[in-house]
Amino acid sequence: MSREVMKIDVWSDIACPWCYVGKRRFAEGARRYAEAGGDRVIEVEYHAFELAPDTPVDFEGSEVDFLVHHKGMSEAKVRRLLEQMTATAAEEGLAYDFDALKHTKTLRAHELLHLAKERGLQDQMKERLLRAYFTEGRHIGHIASLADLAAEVGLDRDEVVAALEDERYRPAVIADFDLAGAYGIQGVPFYVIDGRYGVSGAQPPEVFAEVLQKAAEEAAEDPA
Amino acid sequence: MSDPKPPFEMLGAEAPVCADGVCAVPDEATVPEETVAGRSGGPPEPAQ
Repeated sequence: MSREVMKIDVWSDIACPWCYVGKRRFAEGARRYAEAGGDRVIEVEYHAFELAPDTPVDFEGSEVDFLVHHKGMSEAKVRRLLEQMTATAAEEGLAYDFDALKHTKTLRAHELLHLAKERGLQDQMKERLLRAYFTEGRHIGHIASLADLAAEVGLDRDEVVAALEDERYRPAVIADFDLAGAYGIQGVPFYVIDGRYGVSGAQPPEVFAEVLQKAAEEAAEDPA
Repeated sequence: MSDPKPPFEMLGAEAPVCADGVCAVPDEATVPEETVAGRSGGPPEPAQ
C-alpha cells in the first residue's frame, strides 16, 4: 500500500537568505516528523516570489551597495545585518558569502524552476540556485549562467536556453506572484501545509515537525 | 466577485522573513522593520 502524500507549497525567492535557512529548517522538521512515526510522503513545490523586482539583471555593486542605495539602509546597519545573517546561516551549515554575492533580478531563475518542476528536478534546481547565489558568488540572472547550473542538475542545457529566451514559463511565474498576492503573502519564505495551514518565516524545525503532524492528523480525520 | 481569502489557518509563532528586498535581522528582530508599520510579516490578510 502506497503512503499518502502531504503537499507543501512554498513561496520563496532565490535572493532570500531566510529562504535558504528555512529550506534547511523545513528539511530537518520533515526528518523529525518522519522519525516520530509520521508516514506521509512530504512533497514540496516551490512557487515564485520576487523580493526586489526593480533590481536590474546586471546590478553594479555589492549587496551592501544594494541595501544602502536602493533600500535606504545605513551602511553600518547593513553590515551588521549581513554579519548576523552569515552567522545564522552557518548554524545551518550554509557558508554565505555576501562579499562574493552577485545581486541580480531573479525572474529568469524562477522561470527555470518551473521548467525544472516539469522535469521532476525542482528541488535539485532550487538547491543549486541557492548555493550558487549565496555561497559561490555565481550570477543567476543571465541565461547562459542559469543554463550551466541547470545542466549540472541534469536538465537539458539547450532546452533551458530556448525556454528562457522565449519566456515560455513567464506566465507560470506571474501566476505564482498573483496567487501570493491573493493570499496576502508579503514576506518569504511562506509555507502552505496540505492546503490547510499557513506558516510564515524560517521557523525552527520543531515547529515544522509539529505542523506536519497536526496537518497529517487532521487529514486523517477529515480527508479532503 | 468576492475577495480571495487564504484557504488556510496560520500556525507557528512570528518568524524571520524577507520582504520588500529587506530581511529580518537575526537575534534582533523577527521581521523586517517595515513590518513594524504592518507592511509585512505576520499572518497574511486577504488582498483587497
